[in-house]
Amino acid sequence: MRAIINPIKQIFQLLVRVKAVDYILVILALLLGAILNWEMHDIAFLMAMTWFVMHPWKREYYALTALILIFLVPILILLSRERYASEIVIYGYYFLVFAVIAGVAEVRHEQTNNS
Amino acid sequence: MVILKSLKHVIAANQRYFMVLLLFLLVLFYNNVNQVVEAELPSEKTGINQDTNLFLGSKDERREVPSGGVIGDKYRITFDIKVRPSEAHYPQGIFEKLEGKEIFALEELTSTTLNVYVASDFNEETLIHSFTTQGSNFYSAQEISFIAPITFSKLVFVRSEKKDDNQIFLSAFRLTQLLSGQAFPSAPGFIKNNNFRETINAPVAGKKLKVIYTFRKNNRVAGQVFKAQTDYLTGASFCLDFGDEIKGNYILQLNEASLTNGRYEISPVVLTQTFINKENISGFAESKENIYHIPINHKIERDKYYFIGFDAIHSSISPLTGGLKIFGNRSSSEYTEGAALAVTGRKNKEIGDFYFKIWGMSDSGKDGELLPNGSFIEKISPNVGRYLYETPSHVSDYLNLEESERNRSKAFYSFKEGVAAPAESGNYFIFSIDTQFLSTKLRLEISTLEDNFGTVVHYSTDRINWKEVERKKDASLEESGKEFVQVITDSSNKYFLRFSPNPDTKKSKGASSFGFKRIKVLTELQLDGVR
Repeated sequence: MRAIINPIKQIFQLLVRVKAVDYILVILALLLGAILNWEMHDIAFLMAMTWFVMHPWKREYYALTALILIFLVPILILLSRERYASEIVIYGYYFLVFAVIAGVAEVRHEQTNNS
Repeated sequence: MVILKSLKHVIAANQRYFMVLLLFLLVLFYNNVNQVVEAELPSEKTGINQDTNLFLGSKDERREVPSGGVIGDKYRITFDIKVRPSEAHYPQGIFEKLEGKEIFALEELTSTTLNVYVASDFNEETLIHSFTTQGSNFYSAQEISFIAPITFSKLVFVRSEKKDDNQIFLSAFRLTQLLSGQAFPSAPGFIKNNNFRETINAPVAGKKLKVIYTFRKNNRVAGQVFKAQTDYLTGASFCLDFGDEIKGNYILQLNEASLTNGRYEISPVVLTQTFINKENISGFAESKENIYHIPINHKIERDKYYFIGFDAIHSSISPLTGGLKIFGNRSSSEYTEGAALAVTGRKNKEIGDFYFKIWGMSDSGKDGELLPNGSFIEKISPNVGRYLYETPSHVSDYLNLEESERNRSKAFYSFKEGVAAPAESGNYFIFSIDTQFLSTKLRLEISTLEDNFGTVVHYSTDRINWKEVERKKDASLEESGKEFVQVITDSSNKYFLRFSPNPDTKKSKGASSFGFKRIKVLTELQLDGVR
């Protein structure tokens, strides 16, 4: 049994070391979006989300992205691109939610480290 | 226990990968929930009432309508027929194609044959009529008169064409027994049933369409020259990209045109116009392929050239994205009786053919008189006739409407649900009823738009003296959709209904529009001396 599990474990660990599993999962996200007939920008967002779950940013970066996206909205409206503006604002709110989640996770992480 | 422990260890070591798997599961769950909602939508949208409409989807399909008649008697059947291409006919992913500025015109010049039989309960069946529809986007009011070959208990409709996958919808059935000694409808003054909804089929049917004109400045006009084939113009269909960036009003206008030395010239006089904008355009949508059937009506002369086009003068065009985009074909060889023109001032340039369809109506009946769509005149006894009109909530209702000077710049809208106009003080519109023979009694039933108590209705026989039609307080009448019911005993062959916003309601309830949903008119006619 161990003779079978050990090589698999080693291959997996190697793959993890070179981040291959991470890339495979991002490609899986792309395939999933394509199978579900999603729009390209939604697929790109799912791929980004998959990456962020594995390699989270600091909450400040999420908040900054959210701010940039929300700041873009009035500019797009001025350029009569209401459709893009309404989509961008949704992504902006998603990033705000990520910032909150990352904030909670960071606080919890600090608490466990302190204790 | 050991397995659980090692599983826990594996999960703890690879927490982030399990989080990703959880994310994928959530995505799948979310997508399934959304799909259920989408799948339910079409049945709500089609809204076909099986009680009154028949649907013939495939070859040799039969549908029966219970009725009855005795051998040797004369009868007349009238019904409406509508042909649409089947859903399977629509190319997949049409919206993706639209983003790439390509779209297919779906109409193909197919024909569909329908046979009508009378049948008895004893398996006797006799063919009384057979006709063929042209094209896969066809509307027509049909009328069949016959002497019953057998004593029948039902009418049977059967499709019998070789190959096509069009869908046929039949509705508005009426069977009337004709009195013995009466002539058939070809005799003048006997019965009239209008023959509206004639179309010139899209000249670029079945071809790949592209945006061939985009408004870049608002002092431009773009439209199509066509040769009239009917006596009235009732509407025009165009394939348009009416994107989010479109602001202001576009005017669909009709001008006379001429062909001199191989060039089309457009008369500067605008014969009639309809305003379209972001608010009303969805009411004109024909189907999901960005084809809009826009009502515009005017008397036209057969075989004369006309120009029907969009004027962007009241629109505001963004220099980045441009304005209204019109689909067509850059080659002008498909439709030889006209061409798409881009007009700047007095100059025009041929740019191909737009996808377009002209909806018309032809004079019929006695002395070329016209009846509104959905109206009927018939003889019920030697000297008495009946005029019946019911709005079918169709685009051709528009033909009976007159705009006031005041609301010239305000388009009627929402003609699918009825006809409405913005509730502004002094605004009104008039609906005319021409019974053609002297009417002595008239029963009027009107319902206004839902949740909108801001409409006042007046009637007149001369357009000078107006009397108010009182709103019924009776709850049972309101429930059945008749808010106004009145019997008018003023003799005339012309009646006018004037719709205007109720100023009191507007202030208190903030009604933004006024108008009617349905009108039913029944009159008794004097037919002395009418054969």
